[in-house]
Amino acid sequence: MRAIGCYAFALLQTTGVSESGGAFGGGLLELLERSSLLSQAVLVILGLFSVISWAVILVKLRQFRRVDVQTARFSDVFRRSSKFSEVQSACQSLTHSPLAGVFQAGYVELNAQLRQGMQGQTERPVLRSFESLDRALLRASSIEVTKLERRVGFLATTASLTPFIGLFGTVWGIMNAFAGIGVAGSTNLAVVAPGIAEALIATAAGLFAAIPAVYFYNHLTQKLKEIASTMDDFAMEFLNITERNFS
Amino acid sequence: MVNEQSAARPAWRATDDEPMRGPLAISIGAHAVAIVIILFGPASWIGGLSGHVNAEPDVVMAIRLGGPEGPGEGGQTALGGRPIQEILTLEEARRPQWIQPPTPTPPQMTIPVPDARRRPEPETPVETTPDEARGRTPTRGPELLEGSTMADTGVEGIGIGLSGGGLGGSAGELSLANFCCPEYLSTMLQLIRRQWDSNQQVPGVSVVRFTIQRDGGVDAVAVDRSSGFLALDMSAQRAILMTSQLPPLPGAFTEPSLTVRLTFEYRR
Repeated sequence: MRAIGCYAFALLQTTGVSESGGAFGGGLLELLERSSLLSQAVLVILGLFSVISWAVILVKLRQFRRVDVQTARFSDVFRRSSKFSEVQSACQSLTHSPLAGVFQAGYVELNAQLRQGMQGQTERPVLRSFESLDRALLRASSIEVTKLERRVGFLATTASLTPFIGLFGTVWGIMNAFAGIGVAGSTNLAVVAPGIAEALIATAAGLFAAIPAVYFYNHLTQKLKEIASTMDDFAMEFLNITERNFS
Repeated sequence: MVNEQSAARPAWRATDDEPMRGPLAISIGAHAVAIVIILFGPASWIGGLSGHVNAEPDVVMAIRLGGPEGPGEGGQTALGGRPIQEILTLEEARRPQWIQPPTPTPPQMTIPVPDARRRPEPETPVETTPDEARGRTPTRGPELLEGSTMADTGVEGIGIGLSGGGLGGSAGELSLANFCCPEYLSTMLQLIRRQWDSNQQVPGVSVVRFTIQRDGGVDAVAVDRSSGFLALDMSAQRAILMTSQLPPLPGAFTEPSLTVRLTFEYRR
């Protein structure tokens, strides 16, 4: 975060130097340069929100793409294998598939129960507690969902917070603009308009940060629901197979 | 029990967290590019807020717009552009000369001829108005009237004739580069002055640079030197932007475009 802040500050400094050099015309840069320190701070904060939210978006999109690919591969392996041990060995390479995580948790719990159940017996192994296996699957499913949900909340925070931060900057800028009107003693549009234009930049920046955050938050949340549903299906299927074979 | 807990969440899965550093660098880079484009990109990409002059034009001339109005706006002098008016020494007043009437000549007597015949008076035929001409307002025949057509007399003035002829020493900056046609500048400045609201109640000098294309279109309007007051700069820019269409550049001017640095001087 500190590195990003330094970067944004350096960028502002650079643009300021360029402007003072007189190589560029008026416009947005000039409005930014004339804006108050608070407005500039608001813009920097909104910039940080935007940068981090886009980084989160990129991370999560990449993560979910890997999840899709590896889940498809795991499902294929799971359906073709006749033994859980084969699936377990394939899971070592499928580190991003939540189904693999659920399967591993169930497999470990199953093995532990079977090992206890086989002590002193030579017959067919019998599962002692389906509830325990169900709890293990549920817990693994919850861990996987938590892992996939990590940082998605930041997008929701960005989506809901940045418009208000931008609005705050705008309100502050318009207050200053009206104060300027009072000082100038004129309601000429040429006096009023620049201050309002400067103030509205903050709202624009807030929306710039919020709109992609809203869109990708909804997209990722929908994706998470699908994955959670797939994990529930898989857990039930795992329980069914176990019940058929070990009861 | 401990083994079971760790088995439910294997260590290799728990530590499997997506790295943020790479996407963060990509995001920072993308934002930097977006900011650079918004701030320094062509004005047409993001709207009219950013006025950016791409390249240094070949022809740049500086005109100062300010001071009392010149003859183009009904001012009092036609010697626009001259920094200081010459001080005329008053000649000694001449005594008025009476206009002398011609010397009267004595009447000459003529002796009438007793048997002189009376000169016959020419008989003028009675003319009647043709039918098609009746009922119309009689005219007085062809006559000279003052028209509005401008005639090129070949006389060129010293300056552009808009600023105040040096009154107060304010209208002295004039750098026409190699521009050929002061009449065009006069027209241009008249059009711009019509759109310019010089009464901003704040004194200041704002220099705006813009480019006139061959067809008379105005673009690349940018503040070249700020007055320190955004309102003044915006007013000056607005005067030019609202003038958006000027007469086409004169044929004698061979460059494809003309870039002007126009100085707007505001007085309280």
